[in-house]
Amino acid sequence: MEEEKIIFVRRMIEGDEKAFDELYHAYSKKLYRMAYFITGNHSDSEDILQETFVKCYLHRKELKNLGRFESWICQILVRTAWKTEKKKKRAGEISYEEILEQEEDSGSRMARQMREDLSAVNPLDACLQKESFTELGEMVKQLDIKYRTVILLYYYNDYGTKEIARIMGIFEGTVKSRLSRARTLLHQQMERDANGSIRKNRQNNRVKGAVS
Amino acid sequence: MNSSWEDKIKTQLAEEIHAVDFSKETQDRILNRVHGQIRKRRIGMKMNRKYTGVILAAALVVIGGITAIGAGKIAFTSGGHAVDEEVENLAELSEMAKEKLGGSVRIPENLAEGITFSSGVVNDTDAWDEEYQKLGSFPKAMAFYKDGNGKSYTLTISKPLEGIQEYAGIVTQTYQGMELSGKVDQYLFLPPDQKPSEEERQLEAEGKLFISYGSDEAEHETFTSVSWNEGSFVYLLSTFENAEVSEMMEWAKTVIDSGNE
Repeated sequence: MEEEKIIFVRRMIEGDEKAFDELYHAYSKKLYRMAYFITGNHSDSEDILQETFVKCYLHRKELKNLGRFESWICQILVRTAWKTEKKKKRAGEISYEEILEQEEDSGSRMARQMREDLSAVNPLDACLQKESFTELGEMVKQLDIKYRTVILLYYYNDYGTKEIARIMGIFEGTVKSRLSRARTLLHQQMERDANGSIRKNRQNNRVKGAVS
Repeated sequence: MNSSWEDKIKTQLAEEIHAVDFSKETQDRILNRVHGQIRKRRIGMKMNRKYTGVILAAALVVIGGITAIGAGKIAFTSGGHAVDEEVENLAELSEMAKEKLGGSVRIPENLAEGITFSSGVVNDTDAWDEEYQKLGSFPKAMAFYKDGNGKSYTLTISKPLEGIQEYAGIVTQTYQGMELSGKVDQYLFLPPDQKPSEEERQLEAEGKLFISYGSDEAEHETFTSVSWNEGSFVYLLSTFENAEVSEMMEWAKTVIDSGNE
């Protein structure tokens, strides 16, 4: 971690609120986006980010290794996000944003599919297009939270399996197996989608050829 | 899995995550809420005996519980201070208080025999709505007293904002044309993840118990206080030392008489 941030962490631990604000500004964007990646909605992400920084300040004296601040605050965030998701699951809750997304989904997905099918000239284009980040995002969203979290920490935060184990409070072996399973699931999904798209485009091209 | 697939997923994931909108406005709004929550939880945090007394006294002078909640209305107040803000000279504290509160206030050297001024602070109390948005601040002066056994007592003088619920004591007395009002409140400090019992919830609902979260272990405390108004100032004498209201009424009279000699 940069020396400047370590100074801010030290000052925050001593109770300096300005240093805390500096750290908030340095990390909140990344943490918010991580929360969004885990939960998939903005209102929960705001609450999780808020709770993460409240806990960070109130428990600041528990951080012994200042250089580990980022991983420590990620740990708070991930565990808070998991708690939120568990609560929601227990309560069978569905957020307002999820309702909107579901309503929008059937219509817009069909429209998007039509646009893609018409614009894709050949199967390879379709395959590459299918691997665009929006599609990948959708695929990851469909993964269980335990796979989504390891994917996030490994590919986005660049943490090793040992650090992920520490953050998530699980064994390193479990992290490795979840990572492997998540990769397999994503890979299979991508292949399925790409094959499906190739088949559709072939049909479209045949129809277009017949018309012209 | 091949490395190009690994690189691809990494790049695409980063793109996906970076596309999530997080405006400056949202960032600032959440920071505001963070500070509000920290202050709220700190009120109940029992960092040490003196600090709890100080912070709760600061809170109680204006809330006496929690004020009516509504849009834009004050839901709670908070105000702590760092040790290095305290002054140990009574004349200096009185002068600072006069300047900050806009008028002379009464801060005696002793509350009673053996209960002597030790230090004090002049600063602001913040008022928050239920969304943890800061609605404003108002000035207060606090004088800390100690007896020979290390027991501590606090005299708080403030000029509250409009809309803050008035102190409602149970025992009253009139002295020098002023109504002194006193009461004993029971506090329960709980760790953040501990839930109060049904009985404690019931007492809280009846206004007989104030539950605060943030301590390391569950602790019961008795908070005794006496309050009165003089001019535009609200005075509050308070302690966690199991004092009697009648005894504190006498100390309040000492405060009122100070500066009249």
